[in-house]
Amino acid sequence: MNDAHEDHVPEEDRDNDFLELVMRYQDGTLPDADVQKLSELIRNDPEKQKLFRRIQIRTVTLHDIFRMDAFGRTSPLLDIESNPQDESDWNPDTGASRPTKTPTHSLICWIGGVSVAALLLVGVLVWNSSDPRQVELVQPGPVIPVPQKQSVLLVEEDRAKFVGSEGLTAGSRVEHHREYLLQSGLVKLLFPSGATVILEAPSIFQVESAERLVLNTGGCSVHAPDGAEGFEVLTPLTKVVDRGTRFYINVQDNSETEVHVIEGAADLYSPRTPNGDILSQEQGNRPNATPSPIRLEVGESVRLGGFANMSDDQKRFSQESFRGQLPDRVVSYVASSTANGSADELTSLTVQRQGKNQTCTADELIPVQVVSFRGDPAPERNGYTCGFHEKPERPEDLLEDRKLVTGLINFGGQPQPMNPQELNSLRTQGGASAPPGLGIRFRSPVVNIPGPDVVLFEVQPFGNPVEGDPFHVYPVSDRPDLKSVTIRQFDLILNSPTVRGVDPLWSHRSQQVANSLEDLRNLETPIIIDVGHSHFQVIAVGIDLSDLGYAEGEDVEELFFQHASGPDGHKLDPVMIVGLPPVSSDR
Amino acid sequence: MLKREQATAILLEERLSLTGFVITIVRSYHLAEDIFQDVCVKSLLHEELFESRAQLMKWARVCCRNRAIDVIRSREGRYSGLTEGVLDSLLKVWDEEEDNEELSRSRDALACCLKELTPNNRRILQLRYFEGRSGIDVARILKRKPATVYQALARIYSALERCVQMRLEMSGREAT
Repeated sequence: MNDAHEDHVPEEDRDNDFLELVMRYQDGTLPDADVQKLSELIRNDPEKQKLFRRIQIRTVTLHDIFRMDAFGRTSPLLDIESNPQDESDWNPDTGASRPTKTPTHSLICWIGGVSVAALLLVGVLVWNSSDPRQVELVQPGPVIPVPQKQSVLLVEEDRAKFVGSEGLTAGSRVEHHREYLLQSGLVKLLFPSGATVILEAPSIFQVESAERLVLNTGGCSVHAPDGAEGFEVLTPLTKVVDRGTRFYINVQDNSETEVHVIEGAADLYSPRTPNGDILSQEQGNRPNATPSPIRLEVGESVRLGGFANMSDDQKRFSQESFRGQLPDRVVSYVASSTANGSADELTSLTVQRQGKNQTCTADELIPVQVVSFRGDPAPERNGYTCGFHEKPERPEDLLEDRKLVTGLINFGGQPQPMNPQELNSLRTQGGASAPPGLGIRFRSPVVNIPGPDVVLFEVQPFGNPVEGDPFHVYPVSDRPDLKSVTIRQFDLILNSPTVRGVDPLWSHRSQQVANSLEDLRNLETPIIIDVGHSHFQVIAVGIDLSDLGYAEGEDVEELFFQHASGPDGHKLDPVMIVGLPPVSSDR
Repeated sequence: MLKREQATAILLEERLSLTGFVITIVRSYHLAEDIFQDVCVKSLLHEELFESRAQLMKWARVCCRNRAIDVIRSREGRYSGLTEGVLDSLLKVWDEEEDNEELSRSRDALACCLKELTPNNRRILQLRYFEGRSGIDVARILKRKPATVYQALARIYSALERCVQMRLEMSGREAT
């Protein structure tokens, strides 16, 4: 776009302050006092009223164009592979850009967009649906930028927490010569040559160059594919040079270093020390020997800096230590936003299954129907429902919808799981015998494949367990080969960089106990409190149906959940449970 | 009298304009679309037929306004946007301004202008208007100050507006 058209400068250009106020108003971040100021500006100036109208209509048009673009992929507006860190050509002073070739007039795009909008609306009108939910359209997956020349990127993370580097998230560029302290979790780095390194916490590392990693402590798995030969890892005691291979290095707190070669070969060099050459000492205590590399071949390992001799070390070769990839898990989710910027409806979900990322739009996920609910015997002081100020007539909607702020919470359970067959027998009897917990049925069966098959979202306030509230999942079946599983660690936890907050969050409280869905519907909730000030975040965990004993390819229609806490413990607060569709070959 | 199909067609034509008014109150695109759809459904259930386009649109705007405020009060306990007096003034502006044809043409121009933005400016718009993130979130993601992002949004808007006006002018010249 060219900025050199001063004779066409519209009124808006002279109103940047007003524009900024409107931009802040639009996303709900304008303080109340400034909203009043904006109101006054608009009230007293007919031209501002017209300008405001134009801005608002342009704003929805922008939303519309981006959405239609994602839906139809008719034009490459969504930069899903752009580097968010690279601001080199962004001119914040002018908002201007480099002149580029003018694209072809996109009438088809426009007609397509309007047609789709019309179809959506006609669909709503024809069905006369009582559920006015907007059909969500394709959303982009997590942004994994193409590495710039010489830049090293953090491309994936699993519950990673850094000390003093909170901003380092998936997609971030890793600074050279900066020491990173990975306190917990796993991260995967991508080097320009194509070499990848998976680091395990606790570890201390720094990227020294585009071809060299310094590992002071911790474990790392290195894969250097063709073209990345020569990649180096420096530890306090050795330099490992890749010769086209996969290898695993572990540096302990006392600098003792293990190297395991899983594939190909690696050369070990010794950095000089005041007392001689560590590698030479290992080879035969020859401090003055010329430092020559030790070549490790596939299946070999070595330990440096310890007291064991090398032959002993070779017996300890461990292929299992090497991580070829991060574990299957919920990688991220995308939600629309409310006016104040907090999470509203789930729009897409990315899960790693069988080692590959699968991104599903909300429409593709398998929704659930709530079939049973029972609280613990004692009244629940935090209530059983959360969401908006008004409680819906049908409380099941709170869990069945796509809103991440509404849920059925604090149902019953106990620290230890029940025997699944016994639990299902009690469920069948029903009435007073029904076990505490939450029963759900998938709207269509979920097919079990390796990796997560079901995803549960929970709202968790600051101050509760960072890793999520523990819970039991049970199969709904009499089959003796099936078992329950207890989940104590979510995939996306309170300090995961991509989780979204919900605020306000209204808690509906009652003195009565809910022993059934019927009770829940008729519950008097005289106290309704906004608890958003506790900074609730939406965390998520994947549930692998194989862990419950289901065979690969088997259909699962129902599940039962219980909290796994003691009487005063933190109970589960789910806001959404969904099944994942099968992995299609085109993903 | 407008037939129901005609009324529906008019509401569809006015979708961006109506949604633009609703978003003034709810400040969420998805919510604004939900409310627009609610109002469309409500127009079908309206017992009496609308006499004219003007009557239909006046009814739809008031309906959108009231529904939007109700939804916000239900979700957040109170409405904290532009004062209701200002909303009434804006309703009149929305009623009086009849540039829908131009707005419709400018949608296409805007789509073209978006393609001419730098990847980073597009990224800012994408984060803000597609992913629905606030300017503060955008700033956090891009490691910028919030004030810088809001200034950038304002300037990108101005640049887009200039581009749109230029394109409309050029297409007008071509037409003559």
